[in-house]
Amino acid sequence: MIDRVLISAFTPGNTDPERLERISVQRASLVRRITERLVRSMTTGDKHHILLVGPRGSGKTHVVTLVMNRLQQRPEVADCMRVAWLGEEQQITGLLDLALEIADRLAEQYPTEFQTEYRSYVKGLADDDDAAIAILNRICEELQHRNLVLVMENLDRTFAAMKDSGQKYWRAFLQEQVRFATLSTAQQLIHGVASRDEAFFGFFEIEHLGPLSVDAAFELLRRISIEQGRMDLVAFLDSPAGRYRVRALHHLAGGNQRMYVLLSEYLTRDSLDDLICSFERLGEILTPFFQERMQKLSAQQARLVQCLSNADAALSVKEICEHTLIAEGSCSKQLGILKQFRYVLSSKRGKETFYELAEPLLRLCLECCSHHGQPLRLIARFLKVWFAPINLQVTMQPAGYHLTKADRYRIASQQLNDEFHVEIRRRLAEEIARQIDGRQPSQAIELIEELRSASPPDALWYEALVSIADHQWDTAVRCTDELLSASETSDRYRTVATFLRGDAFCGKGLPDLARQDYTSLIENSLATTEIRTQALFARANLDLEAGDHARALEDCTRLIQLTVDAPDLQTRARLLRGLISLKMGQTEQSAADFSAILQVGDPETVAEAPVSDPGLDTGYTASANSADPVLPDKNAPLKAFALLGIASALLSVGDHRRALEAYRTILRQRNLPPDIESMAAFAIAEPLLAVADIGLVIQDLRSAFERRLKETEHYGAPGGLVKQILKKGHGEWSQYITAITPLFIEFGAASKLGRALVESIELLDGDIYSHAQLKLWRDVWQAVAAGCPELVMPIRCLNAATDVLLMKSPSDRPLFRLPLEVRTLIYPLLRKSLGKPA
Amino acid sequence: MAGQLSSDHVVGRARVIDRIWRALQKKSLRFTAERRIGKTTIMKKMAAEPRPGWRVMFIDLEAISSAEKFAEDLVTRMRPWMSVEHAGKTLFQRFLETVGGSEIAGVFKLPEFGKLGWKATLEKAFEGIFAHLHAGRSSEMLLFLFDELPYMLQKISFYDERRGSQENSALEILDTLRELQGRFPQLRMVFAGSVGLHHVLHNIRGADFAAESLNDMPLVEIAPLDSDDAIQLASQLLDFDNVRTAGVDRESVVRCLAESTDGVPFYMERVVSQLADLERPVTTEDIRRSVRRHLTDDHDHWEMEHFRSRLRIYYPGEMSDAGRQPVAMRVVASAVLDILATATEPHTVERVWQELRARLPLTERQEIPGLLGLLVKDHYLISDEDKRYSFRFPLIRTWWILAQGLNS
Repeated sequence: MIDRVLISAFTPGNTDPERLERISVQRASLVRRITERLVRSMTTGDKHHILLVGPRGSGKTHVVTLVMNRLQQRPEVADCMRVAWLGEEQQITGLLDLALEIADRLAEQYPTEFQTEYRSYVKGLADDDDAAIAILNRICEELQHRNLVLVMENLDRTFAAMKDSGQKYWRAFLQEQVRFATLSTAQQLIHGVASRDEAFFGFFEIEHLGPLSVDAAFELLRRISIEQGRMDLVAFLDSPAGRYRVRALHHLAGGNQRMYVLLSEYLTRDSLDDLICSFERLGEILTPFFQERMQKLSAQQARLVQCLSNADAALSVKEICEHTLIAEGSCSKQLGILKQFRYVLSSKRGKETFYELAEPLLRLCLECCSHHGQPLRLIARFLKVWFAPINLQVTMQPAGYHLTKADRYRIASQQLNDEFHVEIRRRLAEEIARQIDGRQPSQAIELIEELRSASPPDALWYEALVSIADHQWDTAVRCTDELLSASETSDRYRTVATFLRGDAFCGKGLPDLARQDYTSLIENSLATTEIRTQALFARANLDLEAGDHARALEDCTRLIQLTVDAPDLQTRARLLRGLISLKMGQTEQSAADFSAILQVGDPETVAEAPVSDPGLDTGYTASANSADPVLPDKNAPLKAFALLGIASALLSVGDHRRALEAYRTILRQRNLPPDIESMAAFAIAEPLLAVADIGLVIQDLRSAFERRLKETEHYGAPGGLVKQILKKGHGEWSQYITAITPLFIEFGAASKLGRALVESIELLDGDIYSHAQLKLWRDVWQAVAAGCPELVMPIRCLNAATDVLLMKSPSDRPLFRLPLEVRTLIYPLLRKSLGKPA
Repeated sequence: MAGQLSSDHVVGRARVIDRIWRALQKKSLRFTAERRIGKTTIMKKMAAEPRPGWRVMFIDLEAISSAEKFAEDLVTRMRPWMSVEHAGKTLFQRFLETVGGSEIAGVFKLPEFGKLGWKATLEKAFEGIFAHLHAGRSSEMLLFLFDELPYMLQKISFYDERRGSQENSALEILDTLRELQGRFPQLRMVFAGSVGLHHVLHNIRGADFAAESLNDMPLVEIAPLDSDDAIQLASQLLDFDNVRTAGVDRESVVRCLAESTDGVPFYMERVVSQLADLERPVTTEDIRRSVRRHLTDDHDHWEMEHFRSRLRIYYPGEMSDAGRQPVAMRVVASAVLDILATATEPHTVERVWQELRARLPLTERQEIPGLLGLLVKDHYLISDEDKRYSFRFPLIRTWWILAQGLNS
């Protein structure tokens, strides 16, 4: 048998403080924070007033007990702190009553320091509030150099009893005397604290105690089991099946800490009978509490609560109206009030709001009141979660046998549908997906094991997904193979598994097998358009990687036709086709795609735009007008990206002015992703150099550097800048190079400039430049780069390369002055003079 | 800051307090500020650290609901100043002999059937104290910091009205305090409160005479912390709750906290408290998310809805539209706030008027400057040197945009 006093669910103060510390979960930082605030309140002139808000059983008293235990162990407050702890049972009837309670507690706790004759002290003061303040002032005198921590549980009740006048006197006293720090609890946020018009608005540091998370609940049960020496239970809780059951209990208990402490006792009940009796007794004990709460509700509100109590799941307003026959307007209004007073919880999904009872214990009690000897559904559900199906079977009995209570509960459990299991699995699946998205594969796998204990096929799906995300290709192929060979996998799911397997083959470096899977999906009429689209994208990427641009283009064109009804996907397809076309030198085609992207938001235009329309003129003009630089636009990054493509296309056909205009349009937009902004800010230098004077180029470059884009890939990338300088007459080289280089050095981008300089070697190759020009190019660079460590190697490369080009019969001999790894990079740049490297 | 800070822990405010002390050399003052901006903190710091030659008393008047109670409370608090003995009796004993009344448990009570009444009793108390100061040739100044005075006046006025009393005790209190200031050159007072005193006076005295009792008391606006002080406080709050910042960029996290809460300690502290629960190093994004969550929170723990709901109380009355139909003043005020919340630059009166007319068929332009002035007094708006109006606090502006659905 378990010692029931060991861990008290209702009075944490009765539990050994060290044990209480050991079983504490989720609130560690809160307890630490409150303790430090109160220490500070006792040792300095600051005074903190803390209010813990949470429904019944959420752990408020637990936190208070922990804080006070810790506080009393702190040596620095031993002499300067006195405590008056008004417990939950204390019924305060007004400010005078509060003052007297504090006085009595102090006199009881510290008899040598505080007098007991407060009542006679204020005799004759007719006004209760005056008397209260006189007593409180007297307490302050008797505190001497010390401060007081006042613990008040159920502040909501106390505030209600003090009324407006008492609250204001109380606040004025706290404000003026500054000797009391308070630690209070309340079941809901009270008007006197939460309203800006009220005296205590902003006075308290309010801490809302949220429900325990599944992990915290699991940890709590585990720690309690350890405290109780139930190592068998600990082992079970540590298993995936155990974790799954805790998750299921979490669904029933709603994260209520007290519920877990109670459940922890019942988990160790050996017989079903014993457990059922304990549960029913609990319901009976709690019922008066909840009945009192129910009596505060109007008839309509009580009907709503009863309706939610009867429901197996959260209900929408419409469903609640149907059950209760209350008009929708009143229903919503009353639900709002019930939510405000923490009777119900709401969750918004799309346009609908779902409501459920905030406190599962309330459900138990409501059932207790109306079950008339029938099994309580909450208990039946609990049994279904906790016991294996075999334990819930009712053995065949001879005729005339009277069913025991346990039998009736077994039957009730079996009759319950698995709806709430479906819900638990859905939540578990969401959690797994979150872990996959957050790249936490080990956590995801742990959850998958949990899911496997309840539903092996579901687990296999997630295992495949997490393996792909974690690049565990063999496992992914194994899982998808298993799914494809399982007879229960539907045709629809089969296509998904095929797609995943294609991805896994890609990852494994088996493009042919991947292609086969993607192709089978593309040609499969049973596959959804979504899957076929994804398969086409994947196959186009495979083709692109294989260098088969023509086939990739074909897939893109097919994609564009397939995604007429999905503008977002169509845009992606156009983007891909635009990039491929650009790579293939089909600038008109790419500009047409990019121009079409700029019409995003107007799907019809995208659909009607002929793919073959060269559209450079119309497309670009439209782009400049449609990319509004002022209004924030969710498609702005995409448009900017397309404009980048257009600018690239324009540059490749030598239309610098319009390329410049395109870059400027991008840079006028707000909230651009830094990568795109950086790319445009630096790429603009190339067309600018072609059409504007050096002053403007320097000005733009400086402003690009000052855009604080240092973390981006394109920061300081000179792109075609060096190439463009080279294209200028050699008479201007010195002016440009001398002006630009110091800027790159100043902003820490010299290495990027160096790379561009090395790449420019390719443009020197061939008989374009005279020897004098080659020397000039080299000498100018050499002069400006002097003293810049990042440019040492590029200059060495340039020297070696120009030496090659200055030779009557070029040979690679000068390149041997370079390290091997650098030399191999230079060879391809000089292929015209040197031919293919040996 | 929620809770109470000892005066030596108050961050910033040195400059404004200096300014206040300088101003008090000449005249009594009125403080104005939104709730939780830090008026009380400033007053309590002044009371805890009085300048040489000043004796200061801080009094929270929120609980007082009658003129008699006000006088009793004031005398009870002045009691320690009346403990000096002369010819075998304390000042307070002489005072009691003059006015009657009693003292129980340190609380002064007016005599039940006294002839003097609360006003004269109060005058006698001040007379006694100042007579004593003059006798000792003391040039000591007395300063009373009255917190939540407008609220008290409102409440007293409400109870008078409910009792069907012909008296206007609230107004009498104000007049008495003004008379006392006139009689005793060594007396100064500060009136403070989150309820706009202009609204209270408007109600108890009428629109034409609203400001009469206060003309000689300059208004001091208590602003949120300035940028440097807000940054210092943000840093202290993060340290106090052991909130670590992600990466090495602590400075930008601190700055973001200070800026995104408009330098209001109350909001700053709430955000830090939420950040502390994350139990991981925080980023500027966490701060922005927390502020936004507070602003959009269904439970509205920052009570921002107050800025909308109080329009109904603060802006009574109507204007006429082109069809001579009434348009509630609160509707016009709300429309003005809508316009300025979405404006990209401050607006002149004329521009506000033009945009208002695009929304409401109004004809009475002459009402608009007054309305804008009230919105400034109520801390919604601020005007620049060209009399162009914009939102006073970016945070309230953001909330207004979200709450009014102006962001879609």
